[in-house]
Amino acid sequence: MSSITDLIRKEIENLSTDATRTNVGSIITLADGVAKVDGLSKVMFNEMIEFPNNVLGIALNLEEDSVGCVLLGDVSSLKEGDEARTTGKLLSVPVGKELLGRVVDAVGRPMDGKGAINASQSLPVERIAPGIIPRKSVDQPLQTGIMAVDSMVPIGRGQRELIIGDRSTGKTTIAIDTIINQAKINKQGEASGDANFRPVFCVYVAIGQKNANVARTIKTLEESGAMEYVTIVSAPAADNPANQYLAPYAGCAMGEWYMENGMDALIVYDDLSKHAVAYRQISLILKRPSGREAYPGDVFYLHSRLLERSARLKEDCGNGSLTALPIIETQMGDVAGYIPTNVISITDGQIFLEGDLFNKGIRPAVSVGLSVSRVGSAAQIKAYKKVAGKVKLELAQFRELAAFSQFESDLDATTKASLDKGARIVELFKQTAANPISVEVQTSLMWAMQNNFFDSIAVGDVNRGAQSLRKYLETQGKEACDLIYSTGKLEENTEQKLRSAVEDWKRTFS
Amino acid sequence: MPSKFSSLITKLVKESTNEHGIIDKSLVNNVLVGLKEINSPMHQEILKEFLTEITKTLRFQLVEVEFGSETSKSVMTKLKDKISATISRPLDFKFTTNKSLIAGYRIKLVDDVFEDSVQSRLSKLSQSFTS
Ligand SMILES: Nc1ncnc2c1ncn2[C@@H]1O[C@H](COP(=O)(O)OP(=O)(O)OP(=O)(O)O)[C@@H](O)[C@H]1O
Ligand SMILES: [Mg+2]
Repeated sequence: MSSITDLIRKEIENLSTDATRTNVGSIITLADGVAKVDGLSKVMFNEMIEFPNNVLGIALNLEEDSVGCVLLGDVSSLKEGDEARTTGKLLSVPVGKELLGRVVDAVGRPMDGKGAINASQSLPVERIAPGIIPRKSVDQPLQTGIMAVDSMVPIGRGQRELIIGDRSTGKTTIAIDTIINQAKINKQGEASGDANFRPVFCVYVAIGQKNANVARTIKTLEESGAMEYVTIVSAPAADNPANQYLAPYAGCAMGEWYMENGMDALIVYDDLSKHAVAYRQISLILKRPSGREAYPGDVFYLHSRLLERSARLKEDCGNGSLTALPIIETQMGDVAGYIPTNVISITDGQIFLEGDLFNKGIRPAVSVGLSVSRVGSAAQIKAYKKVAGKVKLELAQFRELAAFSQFESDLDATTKASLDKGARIVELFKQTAANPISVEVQTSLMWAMQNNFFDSIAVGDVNRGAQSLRKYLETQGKEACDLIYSTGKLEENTEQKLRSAVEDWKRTFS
Repeated sequence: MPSKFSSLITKLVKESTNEHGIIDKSLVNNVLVGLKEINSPMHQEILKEFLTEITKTLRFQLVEVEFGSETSKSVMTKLKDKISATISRPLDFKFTTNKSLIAGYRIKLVDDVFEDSVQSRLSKLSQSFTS
């Protein structure tokens, strides 16, 4: 008997001590998904805070004698006086290809009922953007498949291009079409067996949207077969502001994983206006001093630190890229609002969508005058640059002259020709949603326009003609397009083949 | 920002501490009675600052020690000496038994918690399953 007690005594003596040190505090006030916590003197900014019942919070406000935490998840179980503990960890989300085809919330938990996500890696939500040294200038195209965009405001991999416009002007459609086009190109590239092919993986972050809209977007992506390349991060309007605030950073971490592992990714933030509003709500509850339009003073930093994380990395840093398409909603076309001007100054250009054009049926409603891409043309393929180089100017002139078109009979021949050409380009650029056009077909269509093949077609029939030509180029006339696809150039013999294909088509079109 | 009473408050807090530098309730009471007798026109303000300071000092002096089971005096003294040796300010120890720890200890000093108990190990274990 005594030998057993001896044994136990010995075991107890040898027990390792495993003391842990935690920094604790208690909830003083609790309101609107934000807890003010007393104590926690050693907390770090953005650290994860643990509350009872597995509720997590993030320390956002570090004050002299209290800490403001935004709470994630079900806060109804918490009450004043509950204990809060530091965890020593920053909030992380799962990353990797396991997330493709999935819909997740702001902390990476599945929301699509397709079971657990077995991601083996995770990354902190808030990270420092790549510095200047590992970055490279943007020089590879990211085709949106939208003619008006690819020809006039081309986007390159690693670029940040803002999509801006009033409500319901087709902003989301531009972003979703771009994603659909990536999926199309990815499939084509993978089928070709080209070892150097670089697919683009996509992350779509829905912030403060109605659940019905998110569902519609998911459906569009599924129907077009793009979902297998996409991760959707959703923090809908019904979600608490903390999740809406976090979602873009979480999505960005998921996109960064591709970039850091030498791959290319595209991320859409739909939209950052609602993100700023969620942040304003949190800040007001935290009683931070507010400035212009009641936004807190650091609202610029809110978006700059997010968008700076998009980059194109050098070859010796893996050659990956993260392209960002943030979306901003304006009020009655006012781009001079606080949040729009901030984001315009951070991005490398913008696609401005005009309500007037949209209502006139000119869709996508890309404004020629106000849309720019500061780096993109370096990323256009040679063939396209050759045929689309002047189109932006031509269209801008047309918009200017269009005001005088009512005096058509009095106008000189060159002005009239310019008006005719412009009207035809406008028709050529009309494109329905979820219908991306490959760059080689775009190039060919543009070539046909620049070589006057549409001149004999009435303006009202140009769009129908373009669609018919597109079909021809994708079937019988495929040879020229294939050459453009493989070489990226419009060489002498390619141009000949293209000419004969377009001439053949023209004979059949009526 | 030091207030105009700060030197007075420091003196009053000193009057409220015993020979070990620990705040003593009866001494605090003496100060309160004294303040009331003087009944200065700034009584309210002085009272508020004095009590704030006392609460703060109390918070920094208190060390709450919980054991999972009854513990001998000698262990308590050992622990006291060890903690006092690392922290230079006067400390007021409160020892209690908390059966929910099952075995082990939990020491709370201002907002730092040092803990090694069966309960904490179990909860760590259960967390490793769920996350
Ligand atoms: N190129 C297009 N051709 C035809 N219809 C379009 C086109 N682009 C958008 N639409 C239609 O216009 C409507 C609004 O488009 P969308 O949702 O993309 O706009 P939005 O600017 O994102 O709107 P919101 O402000 O609600 O977010 C949708 O019904 C969409 O199908
Ligand atoms: Mg939208």
